[in-house]
Amino acid sequence: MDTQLKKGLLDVCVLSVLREEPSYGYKIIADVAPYTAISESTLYPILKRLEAAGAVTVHSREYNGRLRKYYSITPLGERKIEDFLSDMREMERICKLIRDGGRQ
Amino acid sequence: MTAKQWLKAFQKALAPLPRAERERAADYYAELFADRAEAGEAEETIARELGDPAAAARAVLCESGAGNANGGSGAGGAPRAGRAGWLKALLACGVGIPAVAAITALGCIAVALAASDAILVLAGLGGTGGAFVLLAAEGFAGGLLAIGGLMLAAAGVGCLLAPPLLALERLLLGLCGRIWKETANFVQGNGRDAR
Repeated sequence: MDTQLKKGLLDVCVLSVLREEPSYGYKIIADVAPYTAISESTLYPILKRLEAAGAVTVHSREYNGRLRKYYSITPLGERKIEDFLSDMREMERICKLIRDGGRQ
Repeated sequence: MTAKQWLKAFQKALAPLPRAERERAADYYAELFADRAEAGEAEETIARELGDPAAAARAVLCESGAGNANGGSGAGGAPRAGRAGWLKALLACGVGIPAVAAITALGCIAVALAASDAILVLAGLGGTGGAFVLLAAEGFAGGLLAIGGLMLAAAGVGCLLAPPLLALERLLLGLCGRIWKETANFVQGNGRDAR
């Protein structure tokens, strides 16, 4: 898969996981991994990018005597998911054109 | 490799980044080590699966814009940081020299104002004292009395001018501090942008 496309897809995958509930690095990887390949070194830049874009917020919470960072989706992050789904619907129509050559 | 060794190598490879960013990235990986260890994985296995710390650092550097976008070595950020350092030095010279000149000029004005006021008061008091000593020694003379009076008036003017001059000096010195701070922020900010 094209690197840029994969990058965008992973951003939305992470946002979708966070839409369910605020989550932390290890769990995000565990939740996304069954659907697409994602590594620890891939996730950190994604989270950082999403945070910088205002799509997620981060807060630390104590867990087992240590601090763990939890990421939460923001309204902007939710809008990004909707935009992505809208783009995908358009992409499906284009794929149909490519596949069927414009035949109805 | 232990978690500590992995994290140490990782942070070392992140050298081009500011300390806060380095620590934040290290916290992320330290948290992963802890979470995976709690899930029952051995430290060495986690370190092995996380892979080369320099490669992980490269991903962070690329995202932050400090690394080589084509995936150069972990130390690849160093030459860019070096260039940023040169740019910072040039900026420091280009902006810093005029700023230092302005600060020096303003500082000199403040010192000159303080000195002239102090001289006016001291000379006035000295002159008054001298005139009265001469009056006492040589007897009454209208000229000496006039000089004593003028000197006393000069000291009085100096005392009256002291509060506004002090306020002006404080303003000038505050301006010097502000110029220094703004110049430092400008140079720092552009140095970071260059990275």
